[in-house]
Amino acid sequence: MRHAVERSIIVGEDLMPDIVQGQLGTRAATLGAVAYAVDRVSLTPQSASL
Amino acid sequence: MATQRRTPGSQTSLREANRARIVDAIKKHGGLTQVELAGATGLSPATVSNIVKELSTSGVLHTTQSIRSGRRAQHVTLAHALGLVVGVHFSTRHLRVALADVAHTVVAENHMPLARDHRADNELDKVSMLLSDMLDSVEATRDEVLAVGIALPAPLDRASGTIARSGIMRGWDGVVVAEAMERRVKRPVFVDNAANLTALAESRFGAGRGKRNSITLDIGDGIGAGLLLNGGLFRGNNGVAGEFGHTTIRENGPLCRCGNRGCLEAIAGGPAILDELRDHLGSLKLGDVVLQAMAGDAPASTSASQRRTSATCSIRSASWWAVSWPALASSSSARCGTRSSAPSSSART
Repeated sequence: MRHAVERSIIVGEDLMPDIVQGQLGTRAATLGAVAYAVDRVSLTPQSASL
Repeated sequence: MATQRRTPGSQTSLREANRARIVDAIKKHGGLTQVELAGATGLSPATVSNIVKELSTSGVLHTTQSIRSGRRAQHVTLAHALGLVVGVHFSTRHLRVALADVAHTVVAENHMPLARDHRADNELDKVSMLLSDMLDSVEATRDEVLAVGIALPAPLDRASGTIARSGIMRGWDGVVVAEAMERRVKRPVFVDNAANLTALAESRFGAGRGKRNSITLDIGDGIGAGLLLNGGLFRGNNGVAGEFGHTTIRENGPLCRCGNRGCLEAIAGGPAILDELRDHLGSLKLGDVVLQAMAGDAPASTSASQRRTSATCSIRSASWWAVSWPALASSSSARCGTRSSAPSSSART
């Protein structure tokens, strides 16, 4: 339990979040729309047989 | 043959739930080894193996041999042949359309410029025609399209399906975009804010991969943010949690496209920066100004510095940033990107 609490509050030395540049550029929102559509689709063995 | 009853807690319903967990985990991560699947779902390796075998046989999953940490592993993805999805992104000046399989592999892509005050009816017709051309190019039919996702550069009212604040996309006010697109393509359509879907993409395929909590700042003509909390998009009670671009930061400031004054976007968004620099640099595109600022051009850099006091990011940051908090991550994360180097935090055991 103590270890779980310690892990949950680990921060960097300067207590700042990582700030990084996005990697996907102008395609990001389009790829996000693709992922969003995939997430909303129900995939079952029945849909595979269509 | 008698059909099996799906009573709660029955073996059948449990098996279905476990199948769904495995499919959802693969949707989220794109592809995983069986060991990684067991970790991601909490299921035992034996259960994962049985279900993967069953779903591979039925055509839902596809497995290939791969190497992980020097050992042979079974890599699992969604079967490409399950169907296609479409991703559409309307920005203020561009339309982008991608046709992909359910394993997120893009098989066709197209983009075109849009007029400044584009209208929903014209542009949705355009998407429908583009989609037909793209399907022809990969010899696929519209019946193979399982769903369409659309990203819009505006906050959405999730109850009505319309843009939450009028004036931001004038030609789209009052349009229930999902329904309007469904009438044209005859396939299910799902719509969300572009900053949210940018955050989703960066978390799945880009800078935020592996991070459960992040904010993705989307700064260009408009300013917005997508929030990812505990692995899922956080939209807030009204669906506009990331819309910080329309926060008033200067009373009686410049008029914003949303109709208010002094919004962050009206001060630090692309059009505001271009307006200020027009006298010095003439007519330029925002991308050109960013390049000039990065090259140290005085007017462009000065504009950036002045706006830094008002905006959280300068013109040097006029791209897409992902921000993650190691404190909230479930495992240690190495620092990366443009920050100065520092030792990575390590998990105490």
